[in-house]
Amino acid sequence: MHSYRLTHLKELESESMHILREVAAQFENPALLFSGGKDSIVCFHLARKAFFPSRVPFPLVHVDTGHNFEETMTFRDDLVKEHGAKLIVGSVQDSIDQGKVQEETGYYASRNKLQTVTLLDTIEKHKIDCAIGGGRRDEEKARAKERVFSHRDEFGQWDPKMQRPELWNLYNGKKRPGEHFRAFPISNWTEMDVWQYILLENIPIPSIYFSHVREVFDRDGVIYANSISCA
Amino acid sequence: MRLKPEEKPRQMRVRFRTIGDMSCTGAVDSPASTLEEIIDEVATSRVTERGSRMDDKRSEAAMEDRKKEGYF
Repeated sequence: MHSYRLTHLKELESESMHILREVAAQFENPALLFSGGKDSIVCFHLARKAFFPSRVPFPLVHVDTGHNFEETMTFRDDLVKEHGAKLIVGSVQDSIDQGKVQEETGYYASRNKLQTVTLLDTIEKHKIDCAIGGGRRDEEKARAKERVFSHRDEFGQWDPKMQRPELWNLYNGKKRPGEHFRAFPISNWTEMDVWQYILLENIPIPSIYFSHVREVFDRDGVIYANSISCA
Repeated sequence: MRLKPEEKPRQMRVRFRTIGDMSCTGAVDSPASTLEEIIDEVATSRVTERGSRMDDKRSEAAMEDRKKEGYF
């Protein structure tokens, strides 16, 4: 007799693949939110493994603020081409042009918050009933209390007090028309798990994760990239 | 992003620990150029990943407020 024990990474992988398969089974039109960051790259890698030898059965959705790092965009396009994935792009600039959101002004102007409207519009336009995200519970306290299957009302709003019980590995994706779900397959991973898994599986990531020389400036203790395209 | 008059850009060796868009993601001062070095750095870092994200620093409940509206 020999014991059959999974490493912590293989255990996390297995849980995530189960969640991704549950999404594919329970929803009609899921999509994977893809930012080009390490967490969504790992989610895509897990999806490829979960459905192999088939192709990943859902498209990638990128919400483009127009202020992305060039390296991330190149990486996204190469990945889509290499794996024959379908890519849907929601543009924050379009939302601004349509007058749905207003560009922030001043030194601290950011399009981060404006993304929500573009994301919800994209979900509605493409009739996505489950948007898979790479959020992890160790990232931030609002994400820490998030379910794996997270219910959103017909306005796309999250009510932390209106979530379903999540017992063992049973996920309840029942919803009314117009509502949708967010699913977080790597909820239980930590930042360290993600890096160790990237190393273990030899997953390519954008070059800006590695040390490089860049023009930066300091503000409030944060080092920002200085970019002409962001002026 | 628009620079304030007193902010002077400089060359620096950095990497990104988290990637959002350029207006909300800060870099970290780091020489780590391999996955192994990144793992060593993450293991010893006293700051968490989103410590360099301005979008979370806008207020105590910035992420929860955005999530309630339908954010990622």
